[in-house]
Amino acid sequence: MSDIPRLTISIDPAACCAMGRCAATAPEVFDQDPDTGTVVLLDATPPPELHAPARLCAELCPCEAITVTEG
Amino acid sequence: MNETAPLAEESAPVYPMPRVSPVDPPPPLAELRAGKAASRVTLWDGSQVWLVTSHAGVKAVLGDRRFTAVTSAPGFPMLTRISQLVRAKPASASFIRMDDPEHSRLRSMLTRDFLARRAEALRPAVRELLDEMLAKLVTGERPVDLVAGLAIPVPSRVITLLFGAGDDRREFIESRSAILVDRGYTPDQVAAARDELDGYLRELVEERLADPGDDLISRLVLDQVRPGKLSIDEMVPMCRLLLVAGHGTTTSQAGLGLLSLITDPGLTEALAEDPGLMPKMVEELLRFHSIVQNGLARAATEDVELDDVVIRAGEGVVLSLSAANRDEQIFPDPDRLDPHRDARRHFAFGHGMHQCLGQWLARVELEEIYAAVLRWMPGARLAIPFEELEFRHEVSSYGLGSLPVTW
Repeated sequence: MSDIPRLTISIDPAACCAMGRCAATAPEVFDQDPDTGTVVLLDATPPPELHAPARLCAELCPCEAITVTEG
Repeated sequence: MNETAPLAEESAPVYPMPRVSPVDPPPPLAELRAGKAASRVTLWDGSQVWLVTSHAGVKAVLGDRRFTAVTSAPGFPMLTRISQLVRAKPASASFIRMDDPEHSRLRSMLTRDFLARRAEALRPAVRELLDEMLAKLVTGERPVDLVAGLAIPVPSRVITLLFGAGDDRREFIESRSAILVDRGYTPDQVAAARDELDGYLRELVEERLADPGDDLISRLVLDQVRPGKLSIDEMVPMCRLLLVAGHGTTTSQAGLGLLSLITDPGLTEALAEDPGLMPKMVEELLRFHSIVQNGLARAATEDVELDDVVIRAGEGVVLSLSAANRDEQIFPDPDRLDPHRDARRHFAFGHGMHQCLGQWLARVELEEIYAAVLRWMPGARLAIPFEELEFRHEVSSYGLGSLPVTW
């Protein structure tokens, strides 16, 4: 089991500027509040096939509201 | 510290530099990108500021709250004479020229209306509008100017749709919004156009206060103005920002994107093979053309280390979005327009808390404009030699004066 890569995602809704890049890039992992647009984390430990899109979300986030940690 | 001689020193070249190719950023930007994290450049008024040209550098500065977007801040770069006007009348500034918390307080009032899903909901109306306009264009005389025929009216009709504004005022709105971003006008002419627009918007807001409907202005009036969260004096520049930002930018990007699509057979072939490629193509065209040609301005409010350079408090910084979008560290073979490239890291919409609020709407408009032209004018081609095309260098969003095509 230990050789399966793990990724843990955390969000900072206070930093979120509601642009929705994450929800558009990895809709399996992120959603947006329908009124405020604030990020909603759907899956904090997504399966390996979603690791690359999740990392891209952290990079695309204009307000650095997404943190991705390996393991 | 910006009281330097108006003559550019060798170490601080004049910015912006002239283009060599009309669809590529000025070549010296690539040289600067290979050097230090920031370099000194001289602006039109003789002041010297820092210029950042790398993807990493632009991202770092735009994401760093120690850099202010307030034009009256010490050292803030005056990219044009018009920026001086904004500085002279700061009370009329919109939230694009504010820092948090004021910026977020105002911007968040608009978030709901510009969510991706709201833009998506507008897609059928945009498509219908385009079909209606193109049906007329294709039965008329050839060549057709796609700038005057589509690139200008489509964004304008979409904004008036959002505002619930009457079609009768569209020409007024279009012409005054265009003056605000055109360096060909004097600061006085720009101020006059701005005052006229503000007067119109004030009337519109007061109209909706008395008789609200189902549109963006009415929602702001009902949710924000009436409960006392937003004053009319704050709302007018906010609405002006939406008008100006929604007009010229989409027009420029639509025109340049169409130019690429009709002159690069590789792009249309790729789309014919896979029509689902359009969103990716739109991102790549945004990256490639980077219409906010002179970049974004900020000023440091404290000393900031940017890799191998220290930017001191009170010094100005210009972020070249077009140079960052051609950074080979992120986009291999950056000067090539590649329909299969994943260009999502581009900064055509900026980065940080000021990243373009209307970006999803812009994407919907661009996708629909490009697709509609390919649908209605199969085999569209330039009706004049490429060398005769008129590029607008003097506007803050770079674009075409006209795009005559035949098919």
